[in-house]
Amino acid sequence: MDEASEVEPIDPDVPSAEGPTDAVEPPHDQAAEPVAARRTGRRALVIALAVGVPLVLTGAVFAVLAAAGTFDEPEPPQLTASQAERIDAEFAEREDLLAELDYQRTEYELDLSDWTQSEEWTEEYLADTAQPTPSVPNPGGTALPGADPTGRAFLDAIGATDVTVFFEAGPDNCGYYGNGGTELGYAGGCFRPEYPNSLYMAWDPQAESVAWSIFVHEAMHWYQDEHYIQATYLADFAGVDFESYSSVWEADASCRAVYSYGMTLEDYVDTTSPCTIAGWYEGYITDYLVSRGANLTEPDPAAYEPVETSRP
Amino acid sequence: MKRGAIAAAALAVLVGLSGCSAAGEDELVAQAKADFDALVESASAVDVAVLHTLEVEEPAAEPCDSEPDSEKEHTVFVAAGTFAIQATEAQEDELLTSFAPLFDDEERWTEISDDLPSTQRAYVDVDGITAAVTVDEGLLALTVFSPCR
Repeated sequence: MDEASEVEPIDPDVPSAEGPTDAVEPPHDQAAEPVAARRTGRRALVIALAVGVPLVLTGAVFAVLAAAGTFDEPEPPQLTASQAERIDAEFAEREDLLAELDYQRTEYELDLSDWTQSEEWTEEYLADTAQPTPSVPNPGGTALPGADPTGRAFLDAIGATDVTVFFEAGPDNCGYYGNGGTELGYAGGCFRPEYPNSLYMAWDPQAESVAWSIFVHEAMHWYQDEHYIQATYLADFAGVDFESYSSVWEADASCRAVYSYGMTLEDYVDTTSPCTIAGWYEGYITDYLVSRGANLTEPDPAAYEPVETSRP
Repeated sequence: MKRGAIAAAALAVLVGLSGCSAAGEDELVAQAKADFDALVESASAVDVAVLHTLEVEEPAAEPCDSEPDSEKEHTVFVAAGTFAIQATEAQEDELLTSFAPLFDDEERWTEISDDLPSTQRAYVDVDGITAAVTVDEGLLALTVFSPCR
């Protein structure tokens, strides 16, 4: 055992038995200062730990969260890949139907375009009021034979109130070629679409007896255009050009004159436009054009739908 | 002791609150169906001269995770319809945007705008229910997905 271990501990609160001396510093002052310092140190450590540890831990947590992107601006929402694929699948599943629908829509739009165009052309045509210029007077004069010398009563009766007879033997009268200097008499008329309110008429005096039937035939051409001009446009869109049915058109005019306006078959037998349509009826010409492939009705979108209308 | 009691009570409140805010799976599927039904009802009212057909498919639980062994699923609600032959592009565009009022509750819905084509509108709600309206190639597709769980 060494000497230090034999020194008795000094309690600063217990007075010394030998009493105070001036030569020696009181032992309790020397011991109290380190103790107080230790206590202060412990308190500082406790405070430091109490504040520092949570701070460090909090910092660490924030660092981890920051690294994980917790404090980043949130990503804008998006459809997930599986959601997007699921939606795409709905379209893929109906691929055939959608292709058919696309085809039908195109067909409808083309037909509607044709219809609209034919309507516009018809409107323009019927609004045309151009008048021809006279060139060669009619050798037969300026009055039709019979009680209706200008054809006014007849024209009014068929609704051609703006139409007048144009007595003209010039080259624009496509139905009259003259008699070539012979003794024969000819009568001819013409309806020119560029002058829809004029009926060209010319005849040699010796052919006056057939002038009225030819006038009625030309008036029937006005009627045809008035009521069926749109059908001719639509037929043309369908590839049925006028030249391919001009003889039918001519026969239709004569037959209407016969079956609707009191003329006879014989009136047209020896003309360039005989009535050759057995069983003619109003609307014959449109049925004929339809039979040739023309679509003469306004497109009905329902007719193009590949499937029926449905609702849940 | 007193402090411990307060902490325990606070924890209980937190747990309780979080329990209240998280809807159950069945509730989410039911909510998704309600959202889907609203879309279908709106589409059904569209003139047949614009939307020619509309048909609703049976809802189906389908895998929703690309992970191979994942068992996560969502319920998918789908309705699809074809536009009428005479419907215009303007009418199709109008129909695409006409569903927006169904998602105008900003506290619930967020519109998805990233990476979406112009032919599509999509919305996601606070619980993860996703609704998409797609108009393309003459077809309207209404799709609602319950959250992937």
